[in-house]
Amino acid sequence: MLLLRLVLGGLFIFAASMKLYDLQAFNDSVRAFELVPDNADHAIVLLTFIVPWIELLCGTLLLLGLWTRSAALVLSFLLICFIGGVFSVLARGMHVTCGCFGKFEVPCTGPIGTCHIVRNTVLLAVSVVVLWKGPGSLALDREPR
Amino acid sequence: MACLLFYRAAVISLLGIGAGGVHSLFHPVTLKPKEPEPLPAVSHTDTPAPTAPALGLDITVAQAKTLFDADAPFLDARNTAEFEAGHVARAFHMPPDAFFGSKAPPALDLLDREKPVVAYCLGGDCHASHDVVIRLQSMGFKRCHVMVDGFPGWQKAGYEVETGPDQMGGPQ
Repeated sequence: MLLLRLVLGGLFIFAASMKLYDLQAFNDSVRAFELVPDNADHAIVLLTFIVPWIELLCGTLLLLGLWTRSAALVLSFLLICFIGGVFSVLARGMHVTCGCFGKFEVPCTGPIGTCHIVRNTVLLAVSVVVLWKGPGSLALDREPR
Repeated sequence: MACLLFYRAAVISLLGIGAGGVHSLFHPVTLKPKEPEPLPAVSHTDTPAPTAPALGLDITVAQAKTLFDADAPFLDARNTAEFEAGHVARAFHMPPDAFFGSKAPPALDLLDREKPVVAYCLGGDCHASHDVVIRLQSMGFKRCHVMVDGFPGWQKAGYEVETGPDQMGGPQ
C-alpha cells in the first residue's frame, strides 16, 4: 500500500509540475479537447489552472499519507473525467495531444489514443485501491489497520 | 466515516479551485492567436504603392503558395514521424512542444520577426499550428499565418514537398 500510495502521489506531483511549468502548453491541450464551448473562455482558463493545483494538492497529500482516502477519491474523479475526455476525442475522430505530462508523455507518445485510456484506467485502478485500503504504513493519517 | 471522506474531498477540491483561481489572476494565458499586422506598403516613386490585400491569420493553400514563392519560412507543427514522412519543401520542424517552458527553438534565430511566417499541421481539427503561432507572437513575430488545410491540402495541390529530418536538427 505504501508503494502504491507513493507512486501515485509522485506521479501526480510530476504531472502537476509539468503543467504548472508551462501553463500555456496545458491551456493549448484543454482548448484542443473542445469539451468547452469556444465562447466560454473563462471556463477554459479556470480548468487550465484548477486541474494542476488539484493534482499537486492530492499528490502531496498522498505522499504524506494525510487525508489519503479523500485525496484518492478526488484523483479518482479526475481520472474518470480524463478517461471521459479521451473517449470523447476518439469518438469525434480528433487529432489531439494529451498535455498530461508536459512534453514527457510516457509511455503514451503521440496523439490521444487507446494507450491513454489504458494508462488512465490503470491509474484509476490504483487510486481506487488506495481509496479502499487506506494509507498503509508511514502515513500521517491515523487509521486502524 | 463516509461523511468525513466526502467532506475532506470537498475541502481538497475547494482548496485546489481557490489556488488555481488566484494563480490565474497573475499568470495570463493566450486563448487565441492574433491577426497578423499588415505588411507596410513600399514605393520607390512619389506615387503611393498600391497595397496588396492583407492576408489574415488563417490562409488557404493557394495563399500559402504565394508566400512560399516569396520565400516565407514554413513551420511544420506535426510530430517527428509525420514531418519526416513528408513536409512542405524547406519547412522547419517546429511542433508546440519545441516551445515547452517558453523556450525559443534554435531555428527561430534564422527568422525575421517582421516578415510573414506560415505554420501548418494536419488541417481539420488540428490545433498545433495555432498553438505554435501563439508562441511565435509572444516572442515578437508580427505576421504569422496558419495554412488551415495543413500538409494534406498542400500535398493534394501538388506543391513542393520533401521527406527526411529537419536540416536544422528539429526541436531541441
